[in-house]
Amino acid sequence: MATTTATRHSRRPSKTLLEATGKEAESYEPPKLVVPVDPSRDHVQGDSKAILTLVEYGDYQCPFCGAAYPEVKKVQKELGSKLRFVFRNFPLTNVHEFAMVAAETSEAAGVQGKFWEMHDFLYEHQRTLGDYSVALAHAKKLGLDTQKFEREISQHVYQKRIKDDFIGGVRSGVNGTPTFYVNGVRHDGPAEADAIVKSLTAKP
Amino acid sequence: MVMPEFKKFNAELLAISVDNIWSHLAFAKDRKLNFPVLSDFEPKGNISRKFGAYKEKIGESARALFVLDDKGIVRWSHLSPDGVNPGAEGILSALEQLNKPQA
Repeated sequence: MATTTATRHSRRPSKTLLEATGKEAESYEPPKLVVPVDPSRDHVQGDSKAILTLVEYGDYQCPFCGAAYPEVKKVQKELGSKLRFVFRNFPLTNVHEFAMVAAETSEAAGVQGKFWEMHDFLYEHQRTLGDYSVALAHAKKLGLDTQKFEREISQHVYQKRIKDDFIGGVRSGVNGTPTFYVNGVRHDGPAEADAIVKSLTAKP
Repeated sequence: MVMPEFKKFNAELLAISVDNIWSHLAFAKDRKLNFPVLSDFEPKGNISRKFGAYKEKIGESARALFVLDDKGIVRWSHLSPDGVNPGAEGILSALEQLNKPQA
């Protein structure tokens, strides 16, 4: 094994800071989505073969995700059938005590075909995330088999899937929530509709 | 949830900045940080400078990441633009490479 201080093992070129005193990296490239969109596993809204892809790593309890939620709706409205939107879980469990159960709630609804209905409901009712009966009442309203729904949440049936989402996100350079990927590249701009649309429709 | 990924490689996470310990304590408490935050406060920026990660003009540590091996040798580093949180991807890739059996 080499033992020089300059040895690096990054796949991306990066500078050796020991030599470069405090200078900015000359060329900055945002990280790429390393887990490709898989319509058989992912929650995809819109045409699964659409030419533009927006992926969000989100946490249901995160206020910034709550603020980004209507922005995503605007993006979808503007781009219509040209866009497919994918949501993946990134619950920050050490700061958001209800983030995991909320993610489990959406997944439990998802397996019964109501993922997006529950996803939207959770973001529209972020303040009541701590009150489980609210989501349960909504599950009833959506016509879900609530026995199965409750059992799966209490048995943490979807926790592995949620953790897989999380780890995939970490490997793609998710650096907080929400983190968006536009056509497979991390969107480092603001989580606002205009910026996201611009980023999605920019010519490479 | 990313901490267990570091632990798989037997790696410890340390953070460092030029802020004083009282500021660190408040920050760590507010963000519920579960790793030590070191204070490079006196003499200011001494350690950051040694890592080439001190911004003289503004008197702050740069947004830099380092992976050190068990002998304290820097095996990987990354400098992120100030406004961009680098995420943990590079760290995990570096740890993976370090743990690969060497030919």
